[in-house]
Amino acid sequence: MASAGSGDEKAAAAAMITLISSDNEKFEVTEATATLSQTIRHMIEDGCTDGGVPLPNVTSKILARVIEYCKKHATAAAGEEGSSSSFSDAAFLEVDRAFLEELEEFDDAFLEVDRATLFDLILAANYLDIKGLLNLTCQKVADSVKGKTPEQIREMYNIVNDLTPEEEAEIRRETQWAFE
Amino acid sequence: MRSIQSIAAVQAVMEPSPPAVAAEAADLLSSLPGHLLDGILGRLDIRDAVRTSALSRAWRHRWESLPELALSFPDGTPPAAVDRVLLRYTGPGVPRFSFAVDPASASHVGHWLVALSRRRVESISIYKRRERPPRPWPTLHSYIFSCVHLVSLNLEFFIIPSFPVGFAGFPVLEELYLGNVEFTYNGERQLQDIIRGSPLLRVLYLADVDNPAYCVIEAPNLHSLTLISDYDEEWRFGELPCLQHASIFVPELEDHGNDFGKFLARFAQVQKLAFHSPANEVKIGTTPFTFYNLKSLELSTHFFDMHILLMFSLLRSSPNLEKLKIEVRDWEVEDTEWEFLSAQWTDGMCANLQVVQIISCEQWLPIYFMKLILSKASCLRMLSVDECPTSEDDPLNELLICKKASPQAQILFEVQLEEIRFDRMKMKCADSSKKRA
Repeated sequence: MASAGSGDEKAAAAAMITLISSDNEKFEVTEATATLSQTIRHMIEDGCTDGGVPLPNVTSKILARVIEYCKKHATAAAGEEGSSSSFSDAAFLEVDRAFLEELEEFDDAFLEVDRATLFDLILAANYLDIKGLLNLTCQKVADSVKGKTPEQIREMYNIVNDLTPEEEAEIRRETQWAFE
Repeated sequence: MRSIQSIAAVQAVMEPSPPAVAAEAADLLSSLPGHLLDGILGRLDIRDAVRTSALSRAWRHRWESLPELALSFPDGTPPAAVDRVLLRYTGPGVPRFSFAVDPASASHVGHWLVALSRRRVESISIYKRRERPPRPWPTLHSYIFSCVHLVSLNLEFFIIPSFPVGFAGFPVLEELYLGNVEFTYNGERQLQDIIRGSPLLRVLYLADVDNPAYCVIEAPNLHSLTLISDYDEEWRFGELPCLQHASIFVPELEDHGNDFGKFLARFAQVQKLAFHSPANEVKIGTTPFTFYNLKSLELSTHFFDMHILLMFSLLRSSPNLEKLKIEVRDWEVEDTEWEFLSAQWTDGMCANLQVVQIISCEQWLPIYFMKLILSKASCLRMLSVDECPTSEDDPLNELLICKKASPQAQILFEVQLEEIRFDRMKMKCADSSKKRA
């Protein structure tokens, strides 16, 4: 039985895993990409990925985006491991910085999606247990609320205001400092 | 067989699917599983979090029970607002509490510490707002010593109270920043005891902290030390086996200039040294120590005889130096500059120096020093300067035509160079880059 835990790193990195979306689309990805998901990592460790990994909670549209993220960040992780051995030199630090900047640009562009997609990505990242993606998407939502008035937030997220005018006035009075 | 089992396994760990409502009308935030919504709201700053209470009934008290919420109050927050937040917020975790105090809010700090000590507070920062407060500074409430989950502590303009009975230190404290603090009359050795009781301490920042009891700074994991003090005499350093960065700013030395080498020798193991040379005369003679590990030296200095000698002495005792940054604070024009400077050069100096940055003073540049570096440093890759020498500068020509010891050396003029800083901002930058990595 071929499982990730057994020895040869290179063979493991080249091994392919098939992911199956809720609408039955198949995606073939390297194990290095797939194991950014802790959920899938555990399944590989348990040896239950033969015949593909069904992900009934993730549509093909979202899964394609998630894989795009994982591919980029798996390469990043591999690059970091490779370079950390040649420590110190100023030139190396510059390369490292350029690399991080590129990754940041990728993340920014990745987050240019509509709100519904963003929330689907959060749910997928949570379900697949991909920490980096979950952080990134949750931060994006938090950032969208920053500095906004309650009216703006209600409109953005379809929140129905069921406070009476008196209640709302009272809340605003109590928390006036937060509105200044 | 296996794939069927795995479907079951996957479904078992699935979150319940959100109810199928028309996407247009759904309250997206509330549709998230609770722990995810908590995670998102926990990233808000306190003002944004409190403002969500005006969204709807369901939102009114939501922020009050978040498992974690950073209480970093913006400058100018009325202290009564902090009182109210600490009363209403019932969650167990406070990753950060920070507040800029002024004389009007100082009396509230004690109550806040009582409230914070009952929660899992990991970082406390209470600092001055704008101008220096008048003495006497307030005495901090001793509940600060009950905050045993503190990872980072930053205090300015306080008197540290005596320890409560049974205080054994801050077991997980990693960063301690103290600016203008005093210790109580009976607690002269408190600083030493706090440091000893914080075995994980990595970063120590002491600015204008009185140390009349000659406490010994000794910390097995200390990585970074900043010392800003009018008096170099009173500081004693014991074993600091992990020290890598030291920033030392002693504006004027007491009457013992001859011992300055000894003072610096305490930091001889560091990789990075930032050093603000004292304004008065310093003597360093033959350096009795070597900075074997030193890769980066930042020096804020005068270009006077004595200070130049000190600089050369440091360069001579740092055989592995790769990066040198010099900020000129003042200068004296000497006719014999070139002869004087080149006489200081000894074989093997700056043999590994690759990057040199020079920050001018009122557009004055140490051109002869730059020429010396260019003509001697054989591994130099880059010499950058924040100014461009004017064409009236005779030596400029010499600089441009001088024979470079390193064929690949480049000279860049008018480069934006960050000035050498010894304040907390610098520590914060270092800190955030660490966190990003």
